[in-house]
Amino acid sequence: MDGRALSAVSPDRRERRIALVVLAAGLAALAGLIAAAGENPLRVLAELVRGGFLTQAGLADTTVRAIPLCLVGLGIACAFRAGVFNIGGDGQLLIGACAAVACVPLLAGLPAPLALAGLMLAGMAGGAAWGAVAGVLKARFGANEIIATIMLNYIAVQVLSWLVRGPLQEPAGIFPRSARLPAELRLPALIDGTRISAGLLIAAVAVGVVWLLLARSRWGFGVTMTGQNPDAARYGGIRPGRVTVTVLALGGALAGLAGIVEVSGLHGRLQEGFATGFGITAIAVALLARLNPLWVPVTAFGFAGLYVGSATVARATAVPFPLVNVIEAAIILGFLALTVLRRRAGAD
Amino acid sequence: MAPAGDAPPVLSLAGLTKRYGDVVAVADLSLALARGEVVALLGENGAGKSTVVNMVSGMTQPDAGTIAIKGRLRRLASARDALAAGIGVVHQHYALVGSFTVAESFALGEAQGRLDRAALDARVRAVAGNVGIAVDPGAAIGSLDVAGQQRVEILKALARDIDLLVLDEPAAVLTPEDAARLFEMVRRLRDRGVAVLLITHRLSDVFAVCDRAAVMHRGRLVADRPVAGLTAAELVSLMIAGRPDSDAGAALAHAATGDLTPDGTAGPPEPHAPPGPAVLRAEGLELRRANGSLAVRGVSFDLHAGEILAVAGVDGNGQAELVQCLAGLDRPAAGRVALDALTTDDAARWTPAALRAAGVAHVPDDRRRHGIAPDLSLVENWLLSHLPVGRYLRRGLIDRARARADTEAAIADFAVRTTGPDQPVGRLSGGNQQKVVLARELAASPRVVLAAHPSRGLDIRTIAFVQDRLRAERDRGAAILLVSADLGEIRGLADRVIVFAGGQARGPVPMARTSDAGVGAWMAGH
Repeated sequence: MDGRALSAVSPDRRERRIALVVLAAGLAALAGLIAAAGENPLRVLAELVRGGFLTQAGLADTTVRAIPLCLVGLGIACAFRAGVFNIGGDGQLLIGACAAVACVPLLAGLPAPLALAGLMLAGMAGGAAWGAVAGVLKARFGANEIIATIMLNYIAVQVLSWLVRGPLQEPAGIFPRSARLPAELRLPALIDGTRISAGLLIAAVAVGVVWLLLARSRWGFGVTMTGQNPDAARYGGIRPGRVTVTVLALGGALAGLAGIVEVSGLHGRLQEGFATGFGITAIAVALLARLNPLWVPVTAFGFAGLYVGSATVARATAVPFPLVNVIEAAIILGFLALTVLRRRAGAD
Repeated sequence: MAPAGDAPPVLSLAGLTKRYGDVVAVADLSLALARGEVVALLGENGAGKSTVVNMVSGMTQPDAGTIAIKGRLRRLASARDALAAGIGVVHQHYALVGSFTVAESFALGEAQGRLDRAALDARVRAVAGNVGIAVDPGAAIGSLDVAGQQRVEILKALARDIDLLVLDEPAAVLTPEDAARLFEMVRRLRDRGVAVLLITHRLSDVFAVCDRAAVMHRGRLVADRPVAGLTAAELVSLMIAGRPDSDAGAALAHAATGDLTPDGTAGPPEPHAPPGPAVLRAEGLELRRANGSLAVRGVSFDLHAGEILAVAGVDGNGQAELVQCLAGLDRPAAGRVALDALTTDDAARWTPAALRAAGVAHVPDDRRRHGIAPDLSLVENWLLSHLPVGRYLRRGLIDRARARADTEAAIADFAVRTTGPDQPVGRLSGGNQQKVVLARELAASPRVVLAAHPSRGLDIRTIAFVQDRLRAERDRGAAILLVSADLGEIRGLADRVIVFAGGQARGPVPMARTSDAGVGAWMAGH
């Protein structure tokens, strides 16, 4: 027996094998589920891709859905970089939208562009405040931000529920929803014939700003350093508590912006359940982008297309819509497995 | 010492070779340890010692060669395999969970079903009693000092029935007193027939406890000889040049004062310009540990520009707390520190950022924890102590080009071995990480340098380099506070010394008015 035989199976290879098994098992389970629903997995896949990415209507719908995912995902990427696990994208989005709609009377009479800007800022302020609550709870009292942000999500849902039945309900007072936003407070359509609004531009600007903040600003350095080694950050003069609060506030501001962009650019009014699940999907978006803001729009588009494509699949095949959740999970699992594979390959 | 009869060696390595890419970390290494033998594996940082440890402990696999344990060829694919084969390893960086108690650490990895705490405590005490160490099974790991944590790691290894104990740089983090206690334990293990492989680059360890010395140089074994016939100069020469008779050996052996035994004492520090005005003033400081217990009280000193003030003492007597306090990471329980307009009385402004902005640099004791972010590049780590206080900013944005240029200059100036400024700093050897930290801290011409154990864990050449840089900083006019437990280093560098022991501070007194015996007695609390 020589040395080479001794090292035939190294732990590295063992790990790689496990990753491959996980990947294969995930795919097999997915295919099995589809087959169990009485469909051909390949046909479903083709339908999914076609519905989400290859038709004009599908592409437009995907873009519409990618806008809030991108905005929320940017904030989550920042937080995760700092080692702060913000699960509260949904709540921050709702509160942002609520705050902005509540400010509508104040904005009446301003010139249109100014009023629209004010609306967006109000949304950001609302979301930022909601995010900062969790940040202060963590920085000051050591509360776990995961728990805090999740709890704040529930509170936000209730706040919205109350607002659209109370102070912000439409004058008719029949449905639990707000009055329509006046035309000058609506984001204009960017491409005629689609529902894509100027929110797309807002998201693009946000990507640039967040990239600049993370890569080139002192604050962004503090975020990265705190995430990598909070002890070293403190030693260098960075205040991790302050980083926690600001990164959650920024994430909240972006989510709040997503909320008001949804209202102003798409729905036109506040109503219950107008935006559900963005906060959670945005986590996958941020992780898949490896917390790099420049990749967030790409992964946001991917997940949005998956969602839209799944709707097509549900219409065109016997596979039910909730399968989108399974597919999402399979993609994340597969991605994690591939990350392990690549890391191992790099280590060899 | 010699193997009894023809019993096979406990560990026998034959032709071990390991490559990482183009680098041959270990080349054709053969080494055998008999029962009850203590062998030192020596070498500079990067000589391949750690790779040997990793192969023996199952962390990595050799590209060629064999490992035999008690005469049987073994394939060690994991740490578990090594343990099953009777090899216990205590690594340089301990794998302990801070919030666990000593007893719980024991149970980690072997616990099944319900935890029987009483039985566990009894077992911990029994294992500890066997080798003559006192431990409290209920103490939290996080509350132990480095020496205490190391004892726990050793006890964990001994809890299994092992034939070979591998100690990776065990004394590097210990005070002389704790090191002596460790060696006493090693001797007891040897008497019970356990073979010990002691990885070190400290000559004092070799002469203190080892039977044989195996020296590695650039991946090769260049000597395997009984310690009895070796001199310190020969060993140094073997480590740095690969042969026993180079001139560099004698010269460097002299520079590396702290590591030299039995008779290597350095001359008095070279005379230099008299120190300038007091920069930092501490009055009646009382410092407490994180758990609230008293570390030291009655600390008063002025730190002058152009002097090195050493804080001597056995580890855990308040030195760490003093540095934390002076760096703005902590506040004193009583007394005050003042630097310019900043004082600890105004606690809100006594922060790392404010002090760094006022010209305080800090070379921390625990580099991996406090000094660097291992996954980030050299450039990012360079920015760590500059950017938060506003250096390297241009129009509000990070001036990366300048940070990169300065990092590159420091790499050249300090001879840091790296692939370049974009390499993650965690990939560098310990000595090179220390150089990066030191270069960074000295970069902005600091007025005050807090240097905590700056040469701990470094090889001889790097120690000499680090000490030279500190002297140069002093001559430039920096006020340097040097925390060290190494009398040789203190004698070689310091102008004055203050000693912490038993909750009290003695001094400061000028080094010229002290003797090693006197300071040693103070450190021992007399």
